[in-house]
Amino acid sequence: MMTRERAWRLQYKLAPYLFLSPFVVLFCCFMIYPLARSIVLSTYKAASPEQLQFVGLGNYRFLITDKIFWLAVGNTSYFAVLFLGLQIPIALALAVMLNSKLLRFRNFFRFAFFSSHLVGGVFVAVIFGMMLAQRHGLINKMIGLAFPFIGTEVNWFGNPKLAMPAVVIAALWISVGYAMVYILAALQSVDTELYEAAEVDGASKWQQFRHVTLPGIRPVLIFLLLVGTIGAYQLFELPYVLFYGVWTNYAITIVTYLFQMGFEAGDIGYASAIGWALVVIIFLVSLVQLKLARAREDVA
Amino acid sequence: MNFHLGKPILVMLIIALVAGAVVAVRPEQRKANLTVWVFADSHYKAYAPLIPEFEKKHNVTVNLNILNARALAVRLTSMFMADSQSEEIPDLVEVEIGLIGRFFRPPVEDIGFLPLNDYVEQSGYGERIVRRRFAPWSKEDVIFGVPHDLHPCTITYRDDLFREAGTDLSQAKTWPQFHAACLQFRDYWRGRGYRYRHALEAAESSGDDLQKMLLQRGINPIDSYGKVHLEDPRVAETLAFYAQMVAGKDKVTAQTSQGIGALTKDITDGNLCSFITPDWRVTYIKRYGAAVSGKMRMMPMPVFEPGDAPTSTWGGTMMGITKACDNPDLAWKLLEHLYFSEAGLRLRQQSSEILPPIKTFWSDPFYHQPDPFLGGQKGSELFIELAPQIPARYVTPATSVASMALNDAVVRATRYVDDHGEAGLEAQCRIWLADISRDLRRRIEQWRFE
Repeated sequence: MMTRERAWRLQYKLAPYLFLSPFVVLFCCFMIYPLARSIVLSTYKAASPEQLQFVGLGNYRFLITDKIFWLAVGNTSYFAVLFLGLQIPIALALAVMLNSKLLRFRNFFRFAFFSSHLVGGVFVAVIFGMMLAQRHGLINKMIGLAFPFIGTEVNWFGNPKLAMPAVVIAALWISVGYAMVYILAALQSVDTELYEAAEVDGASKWQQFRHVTLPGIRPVLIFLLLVGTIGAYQLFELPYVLFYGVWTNYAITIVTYLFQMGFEAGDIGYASAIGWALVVIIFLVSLVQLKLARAREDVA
Repeated sequence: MNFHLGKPILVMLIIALVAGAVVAVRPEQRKANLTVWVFADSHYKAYAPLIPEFEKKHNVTVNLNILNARALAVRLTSMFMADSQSEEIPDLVEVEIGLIGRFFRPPVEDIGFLPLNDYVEQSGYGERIVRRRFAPWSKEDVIFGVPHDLHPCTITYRDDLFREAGTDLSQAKTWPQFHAACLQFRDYWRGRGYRYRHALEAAESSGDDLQKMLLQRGINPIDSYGKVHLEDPRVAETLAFYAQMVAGKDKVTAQTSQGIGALTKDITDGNLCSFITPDWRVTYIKRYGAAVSGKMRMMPMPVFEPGDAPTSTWGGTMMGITKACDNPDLAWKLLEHLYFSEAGLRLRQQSSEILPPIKTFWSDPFYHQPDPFLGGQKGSELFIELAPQIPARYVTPATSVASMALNDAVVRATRYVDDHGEAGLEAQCRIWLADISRDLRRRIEQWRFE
């Protein structure tokens, strides 16, 4: 018979597994299995349970020569560069401003800037769809007032040169506040003694920012860059709603193309291949970013 | 009370147990004999009152559900992909024309909908319905859905503003004549300081309106056998014409923005003065442009050459029976009751002026009344006149890619007109369309099952 002490010991050993098991089961069912299944599916032409035809790497071979896919990669990369190139500097500037003790109502401004992140991407897309509308949208009205020769008919969604910037504007509105909060937290954790020492050494405010603040918040900036890159490459809701399902080569992104292939053309196999190509792209871009960040760290 | 793992764990355990118990003892929802999915609110409202009568007559239960159109299509696609015989799959489904292509990807015998050719022919509806309207809902001549509508297109325009500009738009029988009338209109109003008054609503970055023109000429980008038709010389000709109408020095168009607010303002302010209007869109224009009631008129669409249809078609819905349906005969009876009964027709008339596809219904007095919004013109009579001439529109899995390619062709063509004018445009269009056609053929070949 099992002694009481032995039973307790067994329970002590098994309890963590028991408590972890719901998560593990769900994770396996809804993450590991679908991922594994999508790898398998990417090697098939799939149209119905009865219509599965093994094509090996055929979907990937087609992908490499698929012009629309590469256009989508180009558009998404363009978005990522433009978005991150603006998001982090703007968030940094806001965070530095809101970290200043001279500013009144700091908490109000912090909440105000962050609050846009609380609404969903679809909601923001609907709002910006209205704000950027020809003739009647707020932004176009303002352009018409400031630059009468341009007028109020700027076609943000129909002009290839303006389409992605329009998406970037909406994306910035959602995400700048979120990035700002991270940077703000990082700014507050920079050792104040470093500033005092820099001041004693005669460093100007700019020199303090460059040589004390930036190195101090560097890990957070790298984190934001990585998370932002991953998010940018997964861009979907904003263009989907802003362009209202009207796909054009200049506005299609990798995930909207994946959606179009999977759920509009019904080619789940090819959509899976696009999904895995996206994983590889994000992995490679993140790797390059990390390598560059480390190289700079080594130089510093 | 003491729990050795702590109170939070105890609370979580209690919640889990209570939730589990509720789920376990919850009475199972009785499955109706027939389940119907629809996506349009007006359709739901028109069908719901018809259900009790059908249930009573056949002693069955019917579950009518409304879902968002895209959600419906995605769920149904997933269900067909998972198990085409699953009990979860509805018996009858309405699908929007832009979303049907995905369901036609498998070979005909593996499509998740039931072939309806026998039902259509035996019931006589094959003769009573405008035959071409089966095209979007068919693959390789096998019918998978019954049309809810025809959606013939007309041009609805601000007669008062065109007449003030010295133009009777209804006299424009061809697209070049129409364009010339629009140019005269534009110049007149521009001369009076109306910078944002445009003659026609048409998109400069989408091929949707171009496709309506191509349909007038009997051209589908891809037919139901998957053959690409974009290298037809008339496509380049139409694209070039369209581009110089929506861009460059002879631009006479603008587009409205998303949302009813923008459309209302564009109509009432006279920013957009003519529209390509299928019957469903006239309902919207009347609703949101009430301020201009009496000032609007309707005319057939201009053509490019004799033999073209003076109409096109825009939008559409079908109802199909899925292969998972246990009782297809009963489902067909319900479909007939919802789509073709007199009671169904009356309810449909309460929510919209959409012309039914059954020709015998067209003699109903409802479709022959003078319309005060159109200054007394009998708008529905014009739709009836045009309905038999609607072009056959085909939808395939590659249609969405073809539409995207046409969107791109329109963008390229409009940029070309803006930068270089019209010289050499048609030749360029031919090159772009050949390129698009090659890509589409490659895709269709890649998707083909052996």
